[in-house]
Amino acid sequence: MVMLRLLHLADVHLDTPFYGQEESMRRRLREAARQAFGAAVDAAIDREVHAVLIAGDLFDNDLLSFTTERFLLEQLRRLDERRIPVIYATGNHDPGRANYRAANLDWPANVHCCTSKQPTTTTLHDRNGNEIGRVTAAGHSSAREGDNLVARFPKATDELPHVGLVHAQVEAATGAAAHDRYAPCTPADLAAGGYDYWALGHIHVRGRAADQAPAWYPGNVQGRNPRETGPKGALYVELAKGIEPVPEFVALSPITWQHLQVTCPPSAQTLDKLAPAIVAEIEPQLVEGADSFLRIELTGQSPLASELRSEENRRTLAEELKAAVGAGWLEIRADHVVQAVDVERFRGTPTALGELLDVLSEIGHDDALLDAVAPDPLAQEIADPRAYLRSLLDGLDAEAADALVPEDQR
Amino acid sequence: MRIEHLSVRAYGRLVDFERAQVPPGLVVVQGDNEAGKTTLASLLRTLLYGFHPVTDFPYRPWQVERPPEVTAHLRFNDGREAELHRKLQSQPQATLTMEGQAARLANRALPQADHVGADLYGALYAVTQANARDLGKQQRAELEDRLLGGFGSDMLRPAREVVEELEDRANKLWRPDRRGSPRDKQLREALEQVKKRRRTAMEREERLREAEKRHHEIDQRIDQINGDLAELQARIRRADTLMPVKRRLDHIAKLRRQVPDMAAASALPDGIDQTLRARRGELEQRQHAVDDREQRKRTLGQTREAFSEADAQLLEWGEALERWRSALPQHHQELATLTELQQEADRLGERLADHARQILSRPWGGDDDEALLNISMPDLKARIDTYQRWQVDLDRLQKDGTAPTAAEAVLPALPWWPGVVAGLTGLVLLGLGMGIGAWVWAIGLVGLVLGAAYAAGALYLARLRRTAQRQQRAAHDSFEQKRREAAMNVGQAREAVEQVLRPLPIAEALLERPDLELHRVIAQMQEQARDRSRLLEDLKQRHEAWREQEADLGRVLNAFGERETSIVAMERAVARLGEVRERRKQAQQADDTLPGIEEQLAEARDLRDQAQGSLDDFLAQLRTVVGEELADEQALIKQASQIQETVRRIEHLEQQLADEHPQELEQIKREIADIDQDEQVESLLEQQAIEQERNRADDLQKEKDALIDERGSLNNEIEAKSHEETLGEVEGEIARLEEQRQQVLAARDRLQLLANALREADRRFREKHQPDVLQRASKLLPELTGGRYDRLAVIDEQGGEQQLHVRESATGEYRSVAPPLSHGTLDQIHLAFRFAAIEHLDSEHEPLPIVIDEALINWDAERFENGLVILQRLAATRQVFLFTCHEWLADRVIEATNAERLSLAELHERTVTSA
Repeated sequence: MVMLRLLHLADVHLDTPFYGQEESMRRRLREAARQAFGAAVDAAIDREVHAVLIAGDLFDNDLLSFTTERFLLEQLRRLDERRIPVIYATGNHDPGRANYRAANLDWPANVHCCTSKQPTTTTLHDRNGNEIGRVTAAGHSSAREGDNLVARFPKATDELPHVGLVHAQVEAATGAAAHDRYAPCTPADLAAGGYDYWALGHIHVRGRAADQAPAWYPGNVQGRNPRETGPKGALYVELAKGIEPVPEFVALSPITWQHLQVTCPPSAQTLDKLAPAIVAEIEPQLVEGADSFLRIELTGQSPLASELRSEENRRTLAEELKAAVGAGWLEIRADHVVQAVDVERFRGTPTALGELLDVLSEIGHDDALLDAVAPDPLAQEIADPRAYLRSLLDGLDAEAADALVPEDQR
Repeated sequence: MRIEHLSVRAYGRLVDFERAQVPPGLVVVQGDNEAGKTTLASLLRTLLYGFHPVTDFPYRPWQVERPPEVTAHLRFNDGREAELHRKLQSQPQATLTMEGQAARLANRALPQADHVGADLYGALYAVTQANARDLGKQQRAELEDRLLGGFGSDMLRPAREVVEELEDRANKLWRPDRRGSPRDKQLREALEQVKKRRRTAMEREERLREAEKRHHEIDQRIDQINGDLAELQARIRRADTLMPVKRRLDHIAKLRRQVPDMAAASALPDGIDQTLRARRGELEQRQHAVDDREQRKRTLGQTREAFSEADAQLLEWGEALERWRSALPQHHQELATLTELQQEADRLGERLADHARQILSRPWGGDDDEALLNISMPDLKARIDTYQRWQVDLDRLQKDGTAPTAAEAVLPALPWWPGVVAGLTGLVLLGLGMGIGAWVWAIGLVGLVLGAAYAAGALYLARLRRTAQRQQRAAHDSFEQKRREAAMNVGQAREAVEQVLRPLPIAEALLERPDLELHRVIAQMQEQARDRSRLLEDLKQRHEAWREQEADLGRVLNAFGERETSIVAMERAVARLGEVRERRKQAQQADDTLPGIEEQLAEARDLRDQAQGSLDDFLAQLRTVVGEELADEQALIKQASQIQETVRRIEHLEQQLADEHPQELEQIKREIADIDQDEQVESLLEQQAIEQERNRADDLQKEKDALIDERGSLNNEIEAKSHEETLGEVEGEIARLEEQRQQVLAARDRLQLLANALREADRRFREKHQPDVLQRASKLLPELTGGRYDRLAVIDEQGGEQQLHVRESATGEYRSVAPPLSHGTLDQIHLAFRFAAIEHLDSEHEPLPIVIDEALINWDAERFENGLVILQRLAATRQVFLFTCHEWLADRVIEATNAERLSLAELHERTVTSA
């Protein structure tokens, strides 16, 4: 039986704004996204896929630079030379209406660009010209597509493997809460279509989107910031009618973000002693085979809390750690490192600190008290100030003790 | 809590106090400066809270080498007693023994004093002139904070100070007003700058896309111009190029018609006459080479034949001749040696004849050698030895000559009768004796025995005598027999010797008594005969061999025509052999060389044939070029040369065309062919039309050049701008700044939230604790101030700050506790505040001792007395230590309050021995 071979990718986000303190780092990340897309094209050619499916957000509409545009078209032409079709459904970052970039690029002939919410079906052929599968795709025409696009898809009744391609947010999918709710759909919508595989995009976390239907998010091809951690890439899918597909992850990202939490050992009395302790903690957790970009979140009680408040000290420590573990970039965060003060010792005592701990505890549930102690004005416009302020309470007990208890009394 | 006894083993300047009794209530500790008052105050605090600081503890004994060590017997208000012992060695140690239970405290506070921290105790319970006269606003606020904010703990910083610090940190991040340069402001300014860059980047992207679009348009326009230009240039080129070419092609065609065979004519070399001569010359040269090879072949054949069959046969003797050439001297030497050996054999023969004359009866004969050599010398020697042995025996027998002695000569014969007489006599006497008497019987018996013995001896001797006679006869017979046998043996032995020597005519005399000398001579002769025989045998064999060699040498030399075997003949034969070998060598070389020469001859013949063919071909080629058979060679050459000149002309013209139109000549030819078919095109070549086309082409070329320049500029611009900052990069920078700003704003709100919460906590704390303190202080204040002030209160001042105020009794007005109130009044207010705070703190705990160090010194008499009343009241529930160096002050206090004096100088005297 001939299997339909597909490479499914999404959320390439070429020229998206990348996180980075330095311009060189942002350039590196921008280049990494392009490298990842180039690697996807290489993978498609190497595996001789019947089609490449791009489930939206190929680039960020307003930000697509002239040079990246050239690069993108050049890579797609490489697929064209190998007679590999590309089915591309636009997303909220690269909508397809006439005034957006997606509608105005000089796409190579092999690219089937689906810019409308109305689904269109493309038939795929093998090298001998035999029909081997179909892909039905729908795109976002605007940047704020609110309709349920999946519900518009026709029923898949063909004898050939049939794939649905769309940029959509499946409710309750892992990571959905962190994304804007565009083109929402439910697992039931996906199951209703009878498709053999749903190639989805939008959510940057790789994984199955619904238990009821073979719907998968490949995640983005390159993590953009410290929150998008781990190896990123595409899904290689072999499809046959009636057989549950088992997508294979194809790593593409040249850079791997990692967000590692390290509890400061209280025994580390100097930054020189802290550095090797952190290295020992993080080294076993490093992902091999890619350039590691690390955010180290220091927590716990440490006599170095004051030193770690200094940005210069953190930068020096970060440089030392970066060299020690061979990371491409490394950031130290120490917002929640506090002095070695036993907060509980003061709770309920007839002291100002005891009272303060009571106040901090009460404002977690007492709106009136929270309003009374809320900064006025707040430094920024917040839709839900109470929720915002309560989100700031984490670790404030220790910080309060840190502020009130002199160092020689700890 | 009261300290009843105090034991000090060592503590600062204090040493060796043993169970010094301490008064229970108000205690006046009077002593000069540096008498130890401060040390005692520290000791009290150490008892309650331990050694602080442990490192470099300031009250280590300086007079003795001991660790600080104190013990106190305590009595608590509930009546319980306890023994507290503290010692500071490498680590602080403390033991609290209470109700029979010992508890280790290490350096922790006494549990009954833990409700007040060490620092607060030092600040609040120990009143000194310095802290009592704390009148400045800052100091007072600090005191207030320490009194109120530090309740229950000595570890906290003042809440106000922390609030200020938090707000300061928050303000450095963000401020609601425009003051200063908080971090958020810096970030906003940075964002503004980056947003300007975003606009620039957007414009740049727009420009890049416009440039790309224009680039595309230019490419299209250039393609169009190129097409138009190509068409125009083709037409112009026809006018400029085709017609001249066509004319030349026509001329070439005319010339070609004069040449019968163009290919053959083109192939003719330059200089036909010279070529012909050269080919003839080459033919002659090749013929000479053939002749030369044939001559060499003949010479080599003769050389081969010079080596004849006879030479070949002689060469077969060559090896033997060379062998004999080297062996010839040895051969001649062997002949001389043979002669010498013959002479030696002759000498041996003479010596043998000399020996023969010694023993032979005649001269040595020719056949004697064999007879001599056949004699077995060992056998001869054995026989001579046998002979000599027998001869010796015979000689000895003959020398002895007589028979052995007769037996009778040795053994005499006894007469028989004396025995008979004696016997008979005895017999008689015996008979008589029987008749006559015994003695006669005895004599008769003796006579009988003697007669019998004599008879027996005579008989025995006669028997011996007969035996000896028989032996004597036998010995004589034996001697005779031996002598005869010896004589016979001698004869036989001689005969045996003679038998051996019989082949030789040995002299008779020597044979009569053969001896070993004879044997020696014969042996010597035998050896000489053997040597001579071997020599002759050897001589015979060598002579035979020599003759065979001589015959062989003769045959070898004879083969070379020599009739003698002399050295001269040998040299001539060798010379002849050398000549034969040289001829054979020459013949072999000729054999080796001849195939090569034959090959060269074949090649030379081929080359000669080729040269002949070449000449024939050239002549045939000339005839082909000319196109007719001309018998006259000169005429043939002349005509061919003329045709060749025509061909050169054609080729020159064609080369000119090719040089002028290196790429497109064939295309031109095709176009000319087309022109030939289309007469209308001729009109296009009119001059006026051509000029118009030319002008239009120039215009198009100028436009194209301008477009190319513009495209180059666009490329440069695109290349340059492509490497500049992109919108995505700027957005990244904006996102980073926005994120930083979010962090900064959140951090500010967090700090401000904490500051506000702390302010609220502080307010709550003050609300809980201040009223009680203020009420207590208000009760004390009239007593201390003589009724001038009656109330203490905390009142909000402008700006929302709370300040301590005192109410004047007379007017009911509140006055801030600050100058212009007098120092003494401020001291009293703060003392009231302090005592109120102490009572507040101790209200539900064990009352702790109070130390007042010269704090009353500035008080006027009335307030002093009032103060003593309060102290006395306080001393009802706790110990109050009043330290002073003024004796008068001590006296007044004692007088007014019945307080007890504790003189440091008298501490030793108060020491009691434990029961």
